[in-house]
Amino acid sequence: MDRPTRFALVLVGLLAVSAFVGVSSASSLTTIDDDHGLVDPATIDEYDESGVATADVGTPQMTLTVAESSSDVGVSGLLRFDMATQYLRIQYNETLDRGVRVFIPAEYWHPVSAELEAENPESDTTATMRPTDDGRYTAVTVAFDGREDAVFALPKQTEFVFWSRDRSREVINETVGYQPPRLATGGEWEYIDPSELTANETVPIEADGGVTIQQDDSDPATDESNWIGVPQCSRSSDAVCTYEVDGNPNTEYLLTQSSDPPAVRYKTSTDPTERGWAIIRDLESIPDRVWSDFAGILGG
Amino acid sequence: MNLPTSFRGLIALLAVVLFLVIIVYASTLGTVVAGGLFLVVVAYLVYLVGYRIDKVLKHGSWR
Repeated sequence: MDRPTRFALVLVGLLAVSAFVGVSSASSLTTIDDDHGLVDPATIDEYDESGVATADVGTPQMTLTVAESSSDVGVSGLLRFDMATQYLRIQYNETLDRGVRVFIPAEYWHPVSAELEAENPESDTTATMRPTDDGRYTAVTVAFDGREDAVFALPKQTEFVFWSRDRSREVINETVGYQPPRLATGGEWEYIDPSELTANETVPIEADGGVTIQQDDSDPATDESNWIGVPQCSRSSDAVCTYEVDGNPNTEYLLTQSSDPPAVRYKTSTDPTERGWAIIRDLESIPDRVWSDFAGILGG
Repeated sequence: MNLPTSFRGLIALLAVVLFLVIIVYASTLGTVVAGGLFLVVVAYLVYLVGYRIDKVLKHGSWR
């Protein structure tokens, strides 16, 4: 084997090794947010008294339960200790695959950032929890593959860590007047469906205090998504790009440069953690793009 | 133009090729910068490991 051949093989091997699958989530998201019964003061009072609260959501059909005892959410077992755990049960009663986002008020637990797998064996879904911008809720996002009953156990230690962190930040701010920076900010994603976008359309996005904008780079044939950053229009001819207008620093503009733009999501805060993940997902996608182009050349 | 023959030269050439691929296929400038830094770190680690392996093969010792 001559040297150039060996070199080409090494290159292909390296690209193949790095072609692992990106982080994914459900592509369509139903945002219930705070439009459910668990935010009612009467329900919160009921939880304070009995340690369990339940609320039905009309659309989509689902039931939410917050409980301090595992037996109230149907996952009790001999080796389960409830002293340091709270539970969230989501019973999704529709056959349609769907991503759901719901806000759980801070009266139940201090807003946390966590990825939790379902505790009950019949469910294999994962809940992503993030504090909302105003600190009043934990935004819980779950992707359901049809009808599903999922129970998530939230360790109180996690809650305590986030409470301590937020309280320390408040004390520092009150004492010396300095607001320590946050590595990961809260905030909820707002989604722009591709069907709402046309070619050469400009969408103004409020960017007071920063904005994080991402596009879904995944294959439309799959129901998974791959959120990566949106490039600046000055250096890109991608399907979507962003630009700023002089004299208007509080608005970022999203421009579509294709008649078939991808889904776009954004949140009105600068989130370094999410930007970092977007870069990693972008790097992970490069071998697929190279292979796609390579296959296109070979296929004519 | 000849390809480099030294181990260090081959690593550098491979890193440059991969960086060009990243420049062409990355979506954002942040990805290009992060990818470049990642390549520098990985190339250095590969060099260190390769250097030690070379030592073992030639002298029968890590040092």
